[in-house]
Amino acid sequence: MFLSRALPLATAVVVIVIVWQLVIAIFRPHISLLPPPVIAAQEFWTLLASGELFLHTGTSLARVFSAWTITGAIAIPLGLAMGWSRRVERIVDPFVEIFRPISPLAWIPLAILWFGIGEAGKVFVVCVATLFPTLLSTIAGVKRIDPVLVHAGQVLGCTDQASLFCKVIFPAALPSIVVGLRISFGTGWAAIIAAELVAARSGLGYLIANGMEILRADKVLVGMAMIGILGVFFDAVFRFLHRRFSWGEE
Amino acid sequence: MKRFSALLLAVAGVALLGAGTPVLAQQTVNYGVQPATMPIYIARELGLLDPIERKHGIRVVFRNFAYGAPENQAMAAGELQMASAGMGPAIIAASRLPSTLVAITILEQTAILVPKDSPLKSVKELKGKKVAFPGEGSQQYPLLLKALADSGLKEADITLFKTDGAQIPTLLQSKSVDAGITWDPHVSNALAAGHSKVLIKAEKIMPIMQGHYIGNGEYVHDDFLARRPEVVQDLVSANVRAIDFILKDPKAAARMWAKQIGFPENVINYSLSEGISVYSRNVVPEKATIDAYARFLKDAKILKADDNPKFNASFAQKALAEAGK
Repeated sequence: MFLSRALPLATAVVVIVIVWQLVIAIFRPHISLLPPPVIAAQEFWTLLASGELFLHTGTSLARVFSAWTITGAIAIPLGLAMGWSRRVERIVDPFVEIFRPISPLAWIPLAILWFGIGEAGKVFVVCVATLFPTLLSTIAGVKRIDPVLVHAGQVLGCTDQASLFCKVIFPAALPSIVVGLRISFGTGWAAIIAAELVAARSGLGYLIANGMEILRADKVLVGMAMIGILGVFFDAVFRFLHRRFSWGEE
Repeated sequence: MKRFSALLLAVAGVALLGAGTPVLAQQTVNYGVQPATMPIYIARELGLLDPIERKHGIRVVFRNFAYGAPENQAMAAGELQMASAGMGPAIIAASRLPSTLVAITILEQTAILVPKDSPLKSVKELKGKKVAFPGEGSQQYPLLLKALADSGLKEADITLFKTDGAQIPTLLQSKSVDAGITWDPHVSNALAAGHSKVLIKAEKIMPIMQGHYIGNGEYVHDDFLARRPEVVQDLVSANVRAIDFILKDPKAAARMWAKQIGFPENVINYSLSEGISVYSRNVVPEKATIDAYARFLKDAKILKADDNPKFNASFAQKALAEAGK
C-alpha cells in the first residue's frame, strides 16, 4: 500500500528534477530566475539546518491548524443543523450564498484593518477559506443519508432526536465531513500563503515573498517545495482518516 | 510522427519569437523609475533625452514601480534596459542579476520618522515599539538593522510592520505605528505635513559618501550595456547634467518633479532645502564605497558572502568630464 503510493510520488520528483535540469541546460536562465536543483537543495539544507525552515513551516501550520479547528467547531455543528433542519437551512443559506463566492484573499485588507498585523488577521483569512468547504460537505453528508438508515435507527431504539443524531446521523455523515475537512485544509493552506505575503514576518508565504524581494529564487523554491511536501503528507493523513471513517463504503 | 513534427515546429516558432523579442525591444529603452525625486525626470523635463533618442534611434520609456523589488524583478525578466532605484535594490541587482551599477545619483533620502508628539528621542528607545518598513528588499531594512545594532538593539527587540513606503506617513499620522523608516519624497511628505519628525537621518547611520548615505543608483542590464554602451553613456551624462540643473536652480527642479511625479511642489522644496535628498555631481561609484555598501548588505544577510556587485565607474567619470567642459 505504502509502496503503491510512494513509488509514483518518487517518480514524479525525479521527473521534475530532470525536467528542471534540462530547462537549465537548454535555456541557461540566470541563477536569480531559476537556480539549478542542486543550489535549491543546498538552500533547503541550509534553512533546515539553521532551523529557519522549521520556524516558517511551524508558524504557517499553527495558523492553519488554529483556523481549521475554529471553523471545524463552527461549520460542522452548523452544517449538521442545516442538513437536518429545513428551517435552519432556510435562515442560514442566504448568508452562505452571499459570502461564499467572495475570495478569502479579498478579506486580507479588511483583516489587517480589523485585526491588525498580528496572528488574528491571518487566522481570520484562513477561517474564511476553510469555513465553506467544511460547511457544505457537512450539509451534503447529512442530506445524503439513506432514509432507510434513519428509519432503522428509530426502529432499533433511537427514540429521541438526540440519540438518533448521535448514533445515526453524525456517524453516517462523518465520511463526507472528513472529505470537507480535507478540502478545507487545502484551501486554508493556499490562503495562508497569500495572507503571509502581506504584513507577515514569518511563515512559508513570508519566506517566498521575501525571497522574491531580495532576488533569492532558491529561497522561493524551498518555500514552494515545503508546501508541496506538506501537501502530500496531509493528503495522506486525510486519506487514511477517510478510509478509517468510511464505513459501509467500498 | 506528424504530431511530433508539429510540436517541433511550434517549439521552433516560440523560440524564434523569443529570439526576436530583444531585437524589437532594442528600439525602446525601458528605464525603470519610481515616484521619487530622481534626476532622470529632470533630464526628461529639460529635453535632454530628446537628442539622445534622435541620435541613437531609440525611445526612452519610463516604467514606473512603487519600490525597488518589483523593479528588480522586471530587470531580471529582461524587461528593463536601465533602472534608477534605491541603493539597496541597485546593489542587490548588481550582485544577483546580469546588471551593472553605473552611477550614484542621490545621496541621503532615508530617515527614521516618529509622530511629532512622540516621546521617542533615540533609536535605543525603539525597543518594544512597532516600526513600519518597506520590506527586506529595500535599503531601509538594512539601514534600520544598522541603526538598531549601533544602539545595542536587535531586530527581535522591535515589531516590524512591512508596508508600502508611501503609506508610512499615513501610518505615522494615524499613530498606527510608533516609528517608520522610508525614503524621499515620503520622508519630506511626512515632515512638511507637520505630523512627524526625524528620529535619525541616514547620514547618521551610515555616512559613506561625502558625509552622506548613498540613496539612489542607476544600473543597466548587462546585455544592453554590451550592445549599446554609447546609449548608456549618454543617459548617464543626462543624469549628471540634470543634477547640475538641480544644484543650480532647485526651485525650478522642484516644479519639474511636481509635474512629473505628481508630488506637491512645497514637499519637494522642503526636501531640497532641508537636505532630506542631497544631490552631488560626483556620481562616480567608487570601489571603496561599493565594497563598504556590499559589506553592509552582507551583514544584514541580504547579500550572500560570495555576492559581489558589478559596477563600472567609467560612464560616470566620462559624464563628469563632459559636463565639466
